[in-house]
Amino acid sequence: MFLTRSPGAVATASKIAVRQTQQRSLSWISRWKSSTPDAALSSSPTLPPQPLSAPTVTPSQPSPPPLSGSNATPPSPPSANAFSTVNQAEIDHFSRLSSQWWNEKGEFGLLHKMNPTRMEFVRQKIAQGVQDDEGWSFGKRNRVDEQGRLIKWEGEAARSVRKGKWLEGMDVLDVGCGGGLLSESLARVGGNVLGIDASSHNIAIASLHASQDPFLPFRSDSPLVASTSQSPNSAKQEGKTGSLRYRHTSAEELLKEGKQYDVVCSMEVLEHVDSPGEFLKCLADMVKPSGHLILSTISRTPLSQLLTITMAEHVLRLVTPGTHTYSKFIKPAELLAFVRDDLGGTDVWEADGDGLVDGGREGGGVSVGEVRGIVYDPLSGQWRLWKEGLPFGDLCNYMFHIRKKSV
Amino acid sequence: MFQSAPSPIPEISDRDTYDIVIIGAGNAGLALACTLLSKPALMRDDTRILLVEGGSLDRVRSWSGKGEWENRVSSLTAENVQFLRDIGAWDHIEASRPCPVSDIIVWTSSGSSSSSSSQIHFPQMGTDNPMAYMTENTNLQRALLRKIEQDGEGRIVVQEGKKVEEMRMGEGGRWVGLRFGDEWVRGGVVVGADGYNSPVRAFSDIASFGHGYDTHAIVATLHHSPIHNHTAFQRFLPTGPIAFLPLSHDSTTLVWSTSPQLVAAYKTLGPTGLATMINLGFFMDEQSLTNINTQILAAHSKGEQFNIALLDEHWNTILNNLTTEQAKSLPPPIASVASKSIASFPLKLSHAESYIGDRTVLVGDAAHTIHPLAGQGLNMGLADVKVLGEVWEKVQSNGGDLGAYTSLLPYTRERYPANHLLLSTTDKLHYLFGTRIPGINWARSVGMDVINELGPIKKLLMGRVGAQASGTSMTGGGSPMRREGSVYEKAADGMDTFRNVKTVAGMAVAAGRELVKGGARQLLERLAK
Repeated sequence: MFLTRSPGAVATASKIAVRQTQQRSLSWISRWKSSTPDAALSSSPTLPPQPLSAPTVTPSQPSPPPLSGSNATPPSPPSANAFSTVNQAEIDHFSRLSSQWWNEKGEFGLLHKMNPTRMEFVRQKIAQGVQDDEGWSFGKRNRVDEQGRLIKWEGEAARSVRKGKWLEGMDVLDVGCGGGLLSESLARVGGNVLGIDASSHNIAIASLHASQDPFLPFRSDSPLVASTSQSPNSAKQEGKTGSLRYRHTSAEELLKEGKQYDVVCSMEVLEHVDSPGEFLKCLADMVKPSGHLILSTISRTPLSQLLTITMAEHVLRLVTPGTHTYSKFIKPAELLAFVRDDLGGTDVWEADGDGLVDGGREGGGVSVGEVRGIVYDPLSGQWRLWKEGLPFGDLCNYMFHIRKKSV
Repeated sequence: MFQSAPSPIPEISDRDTYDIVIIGAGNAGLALACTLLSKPALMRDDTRILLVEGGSLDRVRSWSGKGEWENRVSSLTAENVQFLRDIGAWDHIEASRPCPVSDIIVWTSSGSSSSSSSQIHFPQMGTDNPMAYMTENTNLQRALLRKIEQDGEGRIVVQEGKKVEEMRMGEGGRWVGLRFGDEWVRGGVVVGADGYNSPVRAFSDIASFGHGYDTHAIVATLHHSPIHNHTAFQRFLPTGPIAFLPLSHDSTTLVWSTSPQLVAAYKTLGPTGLATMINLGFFMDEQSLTNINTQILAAHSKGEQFNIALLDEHWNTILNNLTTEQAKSLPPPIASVASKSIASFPLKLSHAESYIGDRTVLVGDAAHTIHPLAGQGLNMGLADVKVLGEVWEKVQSNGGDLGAYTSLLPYTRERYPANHLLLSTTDKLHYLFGTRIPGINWARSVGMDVINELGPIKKLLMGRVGAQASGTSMTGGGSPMRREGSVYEKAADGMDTFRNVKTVAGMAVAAGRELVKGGARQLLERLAK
């Protein structure tokens, strides 16, 4: 049922799983992102396929032939017996909000502003991994041109980073893609991106939105979303690298296909799933050797409760009340401990920095993974990555990165 | 938002699809294209930019860079010259033409002779480190165009003789369709660098506020005996400032802002009469000048030719009484005016309500027009362009959508308050220096304020207001400007102070900045939700 998981692993996973008994059953639970199709969804098999409300979608048009490549398998509806970490109430919540995804001045305005900062973190992590000295030789090293200017030597990979196509040639998975905010950005910097979401509404919105953009390398796998009148799928594709696809499926279902990715992202999802431990294991299994797992989520602190629930939801009404559940938030130390104890620790993942014992962390031991606070500065209207090494940045929203070892 | 038209936008091909469409190939539009060209992440292999000019660029291309001076000359701050060097445009400048300005003398006078004037003399910086360069607009335009045509091939497409007739949002709001005649192109984002009457601003439905000054500026190229010409002079007359801006050892450009009636009358004096009038404008005491102006206006309204011999008489009297000491702090006497260079235009203040529309963004004069007394119009436009380039480079590096509201927000947050501060300060100076109370010595009645007001002028002329990078900007507390003006202006004024404090106070200060930068309105909207 849960594939490679042993019962023991499930048990340890529950250590980190937040108390679900407190979870309120209604639609007010989540916001910002959902993840995968879900046990609750499958428990009501009579539910008809969600009709697409967007008027420009023409369901009757035939699907384009599957493109060659890893994601050519047709989208599989979640099977009734599949184990899933998805919470149906969360899915319902986001489905209701789905039409709002691309209104930058609306419900998701804060998320739109967060997106560049999340991408900045992803870029730092990926670019950091690029070997700058690849292909270096005496002949190619720094030289001085006729005008006496220094020409710095640059490897191909380093150049693509500088030129802004830093995900070129990489398979990227965005779990819980929502309306596609992150997926679109990942595709623009050259990634071969697959965005998956548990809400069919979200996938419909994301697909429609991407299909209307002549600058995105969008490829529709779904018979439900056909091209619009401007034939965007063919427009300005020449010279474009990367690709963007969406599928309505869950991480658990996708894992069964056995494909692995260079980068697996899941932003603002962890705090919405039912079994974060199982969910994380599932994501970890889909990371290629030398690949990256990058998350963003919210810590469980009085500050995060104040900011994300009291202020954002109830006082300022920036976010629909019910979007967040305090008890589902996960502390960075809990996440780090989980990676160390349950995801294989340094046997599977690169040690952080110099690999020295980090006594400051809960439980001690060699630290695997990096936590970076991401802080909204309401006054400049921008999210900022907290400076590395400074305390207190991870008391609310934070980014998380681990990299798999090469073998 | 955009004009609704009955017929659907026809299919637009790949070839006619551009990441960025820039409307207007004036200095702002060209400088933007040039800036973008210097950004590695922005100019990826598949990035295409369209630069559209309504007129022809042939005059710019064929400008010889020799001979008679252009009458449209701008002061480029040292900071902007550095920026133009950084983007590779300054290499294409006709190097013999820009004139470094290392000294500025500003004064006003209402007494019986220029000796009683209140004067401010800016510190000599030496020609090695000039505070500004007087540069012909065409020289800069040609340099920018050359850089684009040399390095932008295949990536920056320049099209001339095309006027935007229609702009409409594509289905789903992911691109803007633009119609030129029967031809449609589309862009992910459209830049309005199309000047004061910006069609892009109109299509974007962005309002612009401001007012005309009841003032026109007369410009002309002046010739004088050869001098070490690196000092700019500006005298504030009751009708507006008269400025002497050096071009070369024997040539100088004039910008004289005064009433439209006087401008019209001055132009009828002919080059010889105008030359003498300009001398009087710099040298004569205010009262006598007012009397002369009255006579000139009277003659002009009757359609009579004013007797310019009368001007010569006044001028000879002044010259005979001029002491060597006085001559030191005054510009050299004008020998002649290049007749073809005489032109005039109305002055106005305007500021767009916003710089961002639906997938549109405004830069330069399309966003703001300013009184020329501070010589900052072009500098503001270049600062806009520089910031927009930096913002877009970052957006593209992080996979953002160049035309999205969120992507463009940092641009407007940085430029709007800075421009607003300049606009309002300049506006206030215009009125302040135009104020005269009859029968009272103006300088004395206004008292110390005159001297205090010269502080902001100094900063304006040196390009220190609203300019980034110079960390010392706007430290001149105690300026009476603070006591006046709208709340918004005051807030904008305070921002620079906030910026100074920011290093110390960090995020607390950002709170103040939000109020200022985004405007209290935005915050209120958010709170009200």
